[in-house]
Amino acid sequence: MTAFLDLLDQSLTDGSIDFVINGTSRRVGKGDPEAVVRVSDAKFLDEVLVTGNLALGEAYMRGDFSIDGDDVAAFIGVMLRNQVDVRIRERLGPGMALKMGAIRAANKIRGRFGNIHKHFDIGNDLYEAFLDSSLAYTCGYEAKPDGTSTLEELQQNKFARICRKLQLKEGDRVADLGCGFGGLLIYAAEHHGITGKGLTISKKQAEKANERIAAKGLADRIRVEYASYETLTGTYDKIVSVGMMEHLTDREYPVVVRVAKQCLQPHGRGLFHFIGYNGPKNHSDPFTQKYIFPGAQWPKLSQLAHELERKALGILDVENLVRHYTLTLQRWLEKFRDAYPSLDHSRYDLPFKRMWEYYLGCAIASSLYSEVALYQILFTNDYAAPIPYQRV
Amino acid sequence: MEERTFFEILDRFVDEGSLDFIREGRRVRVGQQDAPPAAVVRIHHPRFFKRVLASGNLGLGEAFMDGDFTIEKGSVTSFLTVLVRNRLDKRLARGMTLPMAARLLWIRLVNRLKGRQTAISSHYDYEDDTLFEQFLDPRMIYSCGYVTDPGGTIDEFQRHKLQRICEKLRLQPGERLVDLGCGYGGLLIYAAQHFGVAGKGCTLGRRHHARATANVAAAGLSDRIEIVHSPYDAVDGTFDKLVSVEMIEHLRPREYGRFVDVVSRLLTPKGMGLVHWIACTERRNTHDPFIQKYVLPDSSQPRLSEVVSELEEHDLAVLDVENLVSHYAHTLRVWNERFLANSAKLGNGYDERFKRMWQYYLECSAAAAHASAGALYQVLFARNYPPMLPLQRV
Repeated sequence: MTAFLDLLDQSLTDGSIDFVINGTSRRVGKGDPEAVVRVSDAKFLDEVLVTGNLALGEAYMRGDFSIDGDDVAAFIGVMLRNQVDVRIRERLGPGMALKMGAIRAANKIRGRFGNIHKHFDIGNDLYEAFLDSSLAYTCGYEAKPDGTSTLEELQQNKFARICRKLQLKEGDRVADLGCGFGGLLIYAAEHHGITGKGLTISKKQAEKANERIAAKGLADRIRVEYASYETLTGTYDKIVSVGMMEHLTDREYPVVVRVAKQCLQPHGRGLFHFIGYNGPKNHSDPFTQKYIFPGAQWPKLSQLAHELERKALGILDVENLVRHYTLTLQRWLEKFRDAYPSLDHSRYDLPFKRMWEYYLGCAIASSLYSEVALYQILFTNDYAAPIPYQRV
Repeated sequence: MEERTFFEILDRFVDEGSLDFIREGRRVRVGQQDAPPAAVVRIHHPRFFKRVLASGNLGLGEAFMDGDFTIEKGSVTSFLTVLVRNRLDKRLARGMTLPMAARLLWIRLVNRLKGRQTAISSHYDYEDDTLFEQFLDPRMIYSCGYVTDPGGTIDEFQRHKLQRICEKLRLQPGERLVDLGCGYGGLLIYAAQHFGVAGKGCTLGRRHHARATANVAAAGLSDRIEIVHSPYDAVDGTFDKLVSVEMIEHLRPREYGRFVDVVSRLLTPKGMGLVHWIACTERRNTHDPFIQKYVLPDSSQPRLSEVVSELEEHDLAVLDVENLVSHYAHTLRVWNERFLANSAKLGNGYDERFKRMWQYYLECSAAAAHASAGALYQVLFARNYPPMLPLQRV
């Protein structure tokens, strides 16, 4: 029961955690405590060394422990900053390999449609509860240096920035691969007079997106289809994909780049926005794999850059928005907590609430301290087109 | 025979823009007949056609050096831009004869054998700096500038570039900065004067080393900046910030891993670095044969993915990538204008053929920056995300 705490005590050289077990408090690590963990059932402490974050997350969902202030991000953050995850990974037993293998196999059998269904078809009411009014479920852009924008502003800023990077203009035809609820297309149609099409493999997203488009009177300009990105046909002046690449396996990166190349006009531009991975090897987190984004995988920048080079799509710019991702996640967590009391608790019970808080907390901590990145890659199909001296 | 083939090829492949050729009083237009020609090319010698067909840009460059053609309207750059824009470079290379391919191989093999020290010396260690003084800025910075006002001077472009690199690296007083391939020390001196850093630079050029050391002393910075005459991988110490501007083009592709090993070794745990280089955005990563032969032997144009995958292998997180290729085209254009205006001042060592070679190099590089798959990348990276990293980028 103490092996995990001993490991923490050795690993935490910058920051500490207070564990309260059976009324007894034990501080592990060095320095001021950044989180206070109250343990009601200590069994999970043994499992952490076997299944890592999966054990921690499931224990949190069951309520085997709580964190003062429900500050999951602080608890996970101090561990990531001190690379406890690496130490645990080095020690993970065969149990974890089996478990991870089983999760991966299950994800594979369900396939991409099934996985995306599992995550995104929870119910639009949940997304409406914690997202902005455009239902953008991707990293926003903070234009203020002090980071005080609202969630609504973060998402509008993001749309505006992507449209400027793509140099959208009146009459452009735009394809949005993995368009979610259509927020970006609607913004682009309203502000830049584009026409176009979005694709999503979530039926509920497609239905809802088309309702919203109709309500805005844009049905003659843009529409959303329930279809996978590789079915895209026709040609477009601009192609954009925000938050879809993470749901593909690395075998599909050449496919998505080929689709972009085939469907871009000779003078076209494109932008991919995705959660990226900065290290040599991408270790998928088992908790996120099982509960939140089954089958998800963060691409490396070099992987997509390589595919773009192979297809002669010239990379104009890469921005790492990971700091903006931290802010966006924090806004989502705040909004989720505020909205939770009014959600249907027969569908979103307490373990669900704790799961969602745990997921967002882990994501905040990862965006601060791990090898996670948030990349926007801008590319052109026309090297010879004039490029403005100053970038967006 | 070659003349007919040449015009047939151009007529077939130039669909955007047009060019006029004058040969023995006869004027021929290729491309869009109704578009005003981007350049008027007067051909003085029939061997022009054979050279171009046999050797592409190498043949064209040598024909220009020998006066086989001159430009009556427009420039070498606008002439070449039309060819590159219509992918003539690719189409001619595909029709390349076997002896030509063998010759290219020979040029590269010789450089491999001579090694890097010789290769770089042949480019940079001219007898004195006179050539470079004719077209570079007072700091003698021989790399792409940053343009805020296209009507500005070369001095301004270089100053903006130095300022921008220092801002991207978020240099703070007292930090230690290392510059791999520091040239005449312009960046280090600027960073010390305006951002209060101390540091070290390395160069393989003997003249660079001597003159950079003298520049540092003249700026009164000898106690803060050290210039060493050594390869990048022999530099020791640790540094808060690292920069390398247009050096990795001189490395062979299999050396990128070692280069990033060295970067990783030199950086402190909270360190940040910036690598700036002339890149290729396509599969092929080699310089043009003309440039290989006359200007930058044994150089290559690393792809972004090649460098980024090495950074990932070393757990260095990419924070930002900027493609400055339009700034590079403008820098080359301004260098060429200055070179043409000042080349008469060059002494006996530089004959007309040499001057035309240099002009051709600057102009064909500008055309490549305008219209080819070339890129100029600045990649900013950090070992760990700096905790105070501002939200908005430079």
